[in-house]
Amino acid sequence: MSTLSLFQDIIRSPDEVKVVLDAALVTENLEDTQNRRVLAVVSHKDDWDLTEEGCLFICKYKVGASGGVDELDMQRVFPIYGQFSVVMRQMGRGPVNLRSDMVPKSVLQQPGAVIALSITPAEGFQDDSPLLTFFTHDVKGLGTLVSECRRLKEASDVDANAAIDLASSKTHFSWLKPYFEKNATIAALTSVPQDLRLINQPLLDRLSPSCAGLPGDDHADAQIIKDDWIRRKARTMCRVGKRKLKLRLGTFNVNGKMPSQDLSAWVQGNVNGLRSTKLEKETPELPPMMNISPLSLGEVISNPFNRIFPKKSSPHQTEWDVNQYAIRVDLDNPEDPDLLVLGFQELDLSTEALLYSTGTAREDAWCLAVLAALGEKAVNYEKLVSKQLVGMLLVIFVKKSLQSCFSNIRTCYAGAGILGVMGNKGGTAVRLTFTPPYDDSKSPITSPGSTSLTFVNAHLAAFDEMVDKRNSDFLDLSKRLSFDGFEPLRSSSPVSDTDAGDDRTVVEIPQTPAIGAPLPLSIYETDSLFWMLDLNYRVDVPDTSLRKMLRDEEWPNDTKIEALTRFDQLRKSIRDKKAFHGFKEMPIKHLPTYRFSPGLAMDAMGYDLKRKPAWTDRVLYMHDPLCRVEQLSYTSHPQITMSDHRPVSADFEVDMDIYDTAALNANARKLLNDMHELELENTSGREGLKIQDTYVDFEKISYGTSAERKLSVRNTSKSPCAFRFVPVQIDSPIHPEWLSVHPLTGILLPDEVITITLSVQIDKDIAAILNTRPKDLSATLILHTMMAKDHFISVSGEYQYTCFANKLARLTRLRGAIRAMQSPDDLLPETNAINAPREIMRLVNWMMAHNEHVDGMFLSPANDSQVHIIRECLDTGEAFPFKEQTPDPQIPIAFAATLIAFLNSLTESIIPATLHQRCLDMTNRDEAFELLDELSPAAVNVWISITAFLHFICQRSKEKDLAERIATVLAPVLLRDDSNSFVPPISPLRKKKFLLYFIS
Amino acid sequence: MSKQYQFKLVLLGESAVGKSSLVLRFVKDQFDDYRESTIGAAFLTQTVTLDDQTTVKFEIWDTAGQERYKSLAPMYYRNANCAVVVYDITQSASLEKARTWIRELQRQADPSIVIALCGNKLDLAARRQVSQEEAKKYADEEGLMWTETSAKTGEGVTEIFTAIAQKLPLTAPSATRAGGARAGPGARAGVDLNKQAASAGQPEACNC
Ligand SMILES: Nc1nc2c(ncn2[C@@H]2O[C@H](COP(=O)(O)OP(=O)(O)OP(=O)(O)O)[C@@H](O)[C@H]2O)c(=O)[nH]1
Ligand SMILES: [Mg+2]
Repeated sequence: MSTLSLFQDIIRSPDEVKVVLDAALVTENLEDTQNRRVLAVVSHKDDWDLTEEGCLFICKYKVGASGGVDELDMQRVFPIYGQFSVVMRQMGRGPVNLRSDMVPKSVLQQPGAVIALSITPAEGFQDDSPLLTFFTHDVKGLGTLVSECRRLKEASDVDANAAIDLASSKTHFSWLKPYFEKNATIAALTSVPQDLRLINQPLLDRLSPSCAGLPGDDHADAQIIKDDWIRRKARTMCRVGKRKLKLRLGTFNVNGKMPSQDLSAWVQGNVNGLRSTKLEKETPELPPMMNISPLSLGEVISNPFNRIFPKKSSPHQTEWDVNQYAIRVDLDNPEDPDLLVLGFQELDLSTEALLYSTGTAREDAWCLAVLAALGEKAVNYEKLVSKQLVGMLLVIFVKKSLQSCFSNIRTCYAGAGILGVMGNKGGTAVRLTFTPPYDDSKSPITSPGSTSLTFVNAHLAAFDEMVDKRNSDFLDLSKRLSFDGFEPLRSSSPVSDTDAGDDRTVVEIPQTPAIGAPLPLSIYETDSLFWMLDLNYRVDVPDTSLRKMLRDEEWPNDTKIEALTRFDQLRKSIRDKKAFHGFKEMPIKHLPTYRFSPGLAMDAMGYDLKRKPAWTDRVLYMHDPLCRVEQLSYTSHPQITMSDHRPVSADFEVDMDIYDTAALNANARKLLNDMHELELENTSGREGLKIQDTYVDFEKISYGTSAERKLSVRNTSKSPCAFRFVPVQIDSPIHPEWLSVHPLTGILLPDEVITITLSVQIDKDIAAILNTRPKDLSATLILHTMMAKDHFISVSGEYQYTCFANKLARLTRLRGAIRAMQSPDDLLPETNAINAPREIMRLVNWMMAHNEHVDGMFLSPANDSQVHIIRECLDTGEAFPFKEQTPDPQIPIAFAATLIAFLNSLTESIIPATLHQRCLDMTNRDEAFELLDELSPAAVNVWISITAFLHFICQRSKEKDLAERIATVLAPVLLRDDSNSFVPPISPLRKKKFLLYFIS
Repeated sequence: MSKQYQFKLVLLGESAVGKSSLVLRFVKDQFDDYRESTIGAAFLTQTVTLDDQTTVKFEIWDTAGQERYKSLAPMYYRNANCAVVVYDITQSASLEKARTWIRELQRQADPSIVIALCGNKLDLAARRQVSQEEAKKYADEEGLMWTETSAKTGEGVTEIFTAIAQKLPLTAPSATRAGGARAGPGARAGVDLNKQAASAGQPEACNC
């Protein structure tokens, strides 16, 4: 491959390569790859203000896996302005006059003539690196390089003495930034891990702000879309299989104790035979990948550019189905975790521990306890790495058989305690890469790709009210925990021998062109990230009610815990994007893990009376969409009682791709080149996208229904075309809330067609909004094609007003049937409001009038189409169309179901959540009736008429428990929880009890 | 000293008066007898050289004339330095529409906006419904530039854009250097890019 095309690979598309020069560092042996350098002048024209700036790049050849040189590494970048200059001289003589036309003819003609050139950087770009002197044979190229440099220097209007900070400049040379960041070049698209916080954001959110008539930074946005596309495509094209790694994670605040109990429940999870390993063994394992034809496993798609460049053949063009089956890495003991990752907090509480290292005695003791807990399986495991910071210890055990698959093991720590150094709070982290074993003699992989796993063990600020401090601790740790790539591992650590001589080690630390040193890797720059920690986040429910709820044996644990975790500070912080934004956590199914203090004053559940019970010990994770992570379990282990915390464990499966890094690089380069070529060939005619139909009518849109329309969009131009939807105004939404659009951004190759799906689904939340809006729904979507056009797509529909999903107060002010309403404000004056919603009264009256058949009402499932008919009649005001003579027993059931659905759809609960706590105190019917005084008149009427009807049918029924059964169904409906309420919820049993005062 | 300016120009006018055709003629010197009605807004750029010293780059937004999209027009004429309001000389109703656009621009657009009124389809003068006198009188009253064009034959097309280019730098807001910075949407205004002429000649002797 020519130097020029190699260099093109690392240049971003709006930038233009002016000249490329082959040179060397020393005169002797100009051909030795070690010495070879590529010098290139690149120019960038600003699309907006037409200015031009130039830069000199210096690159080194990278020796590829195959031994050949197929890639360039950017080493230095010199902006051309001010002091910058290039001086050349012929070897052995004085400086040569630089005018290319004046280089002596003799030199040009002399074969093998060597010319030296030295570079003087502009202000602020000098450093102590050895003199920037190079040698070259290419006299002509050098002449061009020199004259380009001069031209660009003259074109530059940067102050000659200005020292420009490339990292922060927003004007001059800001176009160079992508080359400094880790997201340029092939490496960025393949081996350099992306920041998980970024990669997990929807692509659209990563683009610049933009709206109708005001495109953002289209060049940069198109680049982001392209990079994303290439990154995903290149990987799927070279994936030859998948492997599944099983992890068991644990977190345990040991409160300074030494191990004194059997930890097997926490470590192994199969104590008391709770986990049936047998069952898992019985699930048939697919035979190893190598015995299966690729075609049988998934769709095989070839390089998308092959259609466009039919003559070129390209390697590695199969694309694997993403959902393809992953095989366990370890087939011998598939039920055991391959990696056991344990985080301990408060390992050592002694004061000395805060000040200086107290040795490894405690770590050793806990590791022994872990191995003991593994029982007979302990022989299969060994310690891979550990990292301790005072009280925090992160230790990883690995199956011996897989130990050699782990490499690049790095550790780091950061204190968050006093002064940010003392380690009473803070975190430790380990990063490692796993290269799945793969032996296929037919198509061996020479440079297998690996997947990185990062684990963080942390301990955040204590106490209820410290939630802000915890959030800031988290943000601080996120910033400060990073792997510098060179931190020497503890010599005692068994890792040292693994690392040595590991030739599979993939170099992942990118080079900054200007400095040449590896950049530190953030903990987020990984394929998968797990945090296990004592977060100290608490539950925002008053202490006494919390304990009462926990104690309440009539309230099943699952719904109780679900209700309580809604008040968990961590959940709230995640929801409010204050901390752990983008992390996932499996729903908690176990009781609070803190605080138990035998001996001290405790409540009936064993929780310390001085500390509010809380889920302090958690496991959270995040991963690259290319690497599937699934959590299988999340539990606490209350039988381990030695500490004031209970240990928590979580099992995970991580699916990783098997691919060849050389193939991945080749794919990425190929895609990038093909894309580039198309762009260069066809700079004109960007007006590429044709939308088949720009007018979309959803016609009548009614409650509970969904509808979909598809738009087909074709790229009729000859160059790739990136698109994105934009809002009308910067801060307005891209589409109205009743509509969803997918995809919102993407890229189309020439002739490619994609389908954009517009869908409408009217659930109760959307209906609640639309009921108060004019019924004519219309919207214009704006599809923006980069650098070209805003396409308008008109969407319309006619919303059918429904009595579902309204406020009670609004329903009582309707003039008649809601469907007849002309405008949403066409209501009766408040003073003329009727007593109770007409619709509820119609339902109750009908049921009262047809009370001969009450079997199954509220209890049996109803016929959906009958419910639909009933709802339509309520909305339109028409009479119910059911014949009186031949009663269908299903009809009363449908009425009852409609009533439940109606109540569920109301924007408020008949008895508001704020009153639920008061229901707990009611001891008899009279007291219960008094509570009704707190309700709005409409709510009282609804309550009375419904309960009167229920009372009637329950009294008459021969079934003694009918009232009980109906109340079980209706209590949560009439006393609905409100997830936004500040008042803690009450148990379903209490609600039922309250309702029973009225109906039994 | 050379001067480079960049201006945002928006085309407005009733559907089918020939806005897209005018832009196509100006940017690519082409004409299409069957053009699809614009659904959206197309973005194009074209540079006009006034003399050796001054170039003006137009960032052109060709909008949709259909009534349905009228509410979106303000998004495209906001921050515009100039507007070309087009009517069809064979359709007197289209001049009425043009008047509405001009009133709206005078009320809502940037007060310094330069407005040109353009009577298109001059090649169909035989079917003329709008007299030159009527249009010119209106333009004079409102202080607008005015001309007649034919996107089909090309008559008057370059001239109107050049005339706008000549008028604009005089009225443009005070110059600011952009220096490659995109201060984000909305931050653009006419920009005077005073800078050293980049000599395209033969390299001269110097240690550079
Ligand atoms: N004879 C003649 N026809 C023209 C001229 N300019 C445009 N047309 C024709 O008029 C029709 C409409 O032209 P367009 O340029 O699409 O009109 P538009 O103003 O962009 O219309 P919208 O995009 O709907 O707002 C096309 O068929 C053109 O070929 C002209 O100068 N002379
Ligand atoms: Mg048009």
